Amino acid sequence: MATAVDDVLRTIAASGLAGSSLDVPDRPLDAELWADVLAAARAYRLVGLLRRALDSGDLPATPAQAAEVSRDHVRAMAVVIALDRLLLTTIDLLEGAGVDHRVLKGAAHAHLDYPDPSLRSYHDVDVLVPAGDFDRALAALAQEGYERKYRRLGPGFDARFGKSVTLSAPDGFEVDVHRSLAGGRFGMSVKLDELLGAPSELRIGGRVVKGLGPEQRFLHACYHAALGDRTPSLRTLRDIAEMLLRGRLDIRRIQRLCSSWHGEAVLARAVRLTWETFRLADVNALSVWSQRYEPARAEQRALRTYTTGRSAVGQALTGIGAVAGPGAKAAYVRALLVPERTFFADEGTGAYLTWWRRGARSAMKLHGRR
Amino acid sequence: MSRWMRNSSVLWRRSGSSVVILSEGQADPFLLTGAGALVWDLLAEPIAAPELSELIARLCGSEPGVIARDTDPLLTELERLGAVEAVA
Repeated sequence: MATAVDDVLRTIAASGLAGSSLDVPDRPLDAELWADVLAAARAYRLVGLLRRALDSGDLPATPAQAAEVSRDHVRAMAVVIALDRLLLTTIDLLEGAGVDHRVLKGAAHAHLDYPDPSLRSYHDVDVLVPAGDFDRALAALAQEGYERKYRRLGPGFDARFGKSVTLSAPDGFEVDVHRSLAGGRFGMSVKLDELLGAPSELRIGGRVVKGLGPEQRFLHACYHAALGDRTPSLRTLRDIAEMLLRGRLDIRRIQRLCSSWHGEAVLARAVRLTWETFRLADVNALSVWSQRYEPARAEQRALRTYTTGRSAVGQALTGIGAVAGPGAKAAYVRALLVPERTFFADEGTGAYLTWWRRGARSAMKLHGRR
Repeated sequence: MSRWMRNSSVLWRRSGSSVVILSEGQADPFLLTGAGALVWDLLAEPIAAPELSELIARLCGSEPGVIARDTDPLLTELERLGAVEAVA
């Protein structure tokens, strides 16, 4: 059930969106609600839009509240320009190793999809590299002190089957190196050459770097919104609305790519969520289609592993069917069944049993058995 | 006479009436507020120091000479920080 904080956050995330019929407070929030909203806006990286909401009058505020937001926004902007610097450093290292790249998510949306990049806060760096260069990319970054945050399942798994690897850069910020848009079935179905094709250019610090093409970038936002968290990120829903309402996307290309990637259920869920969350009145081909789309049972089962029944193991299991070729399928299953010893590190002798028990539970849930 | 312009390698964002700036080689960002942020806006294109003072004086309803007492040292500091460069 939505709380008062949720309602205000939605209003903040929708600030400036044409056609949103969300209720707007008619007076400044009381102290307790304001404290919770501000904390949530910081946590969910909505400070840029919060600033806009105050400046535009979408959210009435006292002078003290406005001053707090001003300070927070300056801090948030100091973070994003530090991240832009880290992004450029990371790209230099990748290029030095002969690895192609695409800038993803926060930095890409801020520079390409918003009328003012200061509206879009972010807290890490995201880059996509070609699967064939994935291990070389990680090696090049490791050489310069970027450390893996989570253990790998097995040698070569990330480059063949993974979604992304999270690294800690020497300055403490996180860098996510992506291979695809998601884990599991929906990630494995993405055609990576189509994902990388026809890149956009964005200018950061006087340098031209590459991002995903607009339709691929839109789809990435949809995948992230529909699959990335149990509760869709308001920031990501705003990215979707911002791009779709601008009217510059090639809808047919989106649908062609999505069909090629077997991602219709993902796209439909993301657009429907965006329209419902922001109560958008504008109608377009995608918003109409998303309301009408009925996912097949297999799609619903797969979606559940990312949402209400969220489970990394469940997602991984749904990926088996999407892996092409018997040899690759066998390698995928082997990695899931028997991760390398270092994956369990200090967890003791029962680690494999625990891992298999979790896998069995996820498999049973996936197939509707308790 | 030198004209000044933002260094293209600078990373920056506007925040209300302020600008947050991170120059190459500097460890930490710095903030320009009020008229300093206005100077930053005007440095998007090459501009000579006297022209800068005149423009701001006109906008603020002041005298160029008075404004220059602030803008000239600001330009010097921005150059020291690598945020601006002299252009032909």
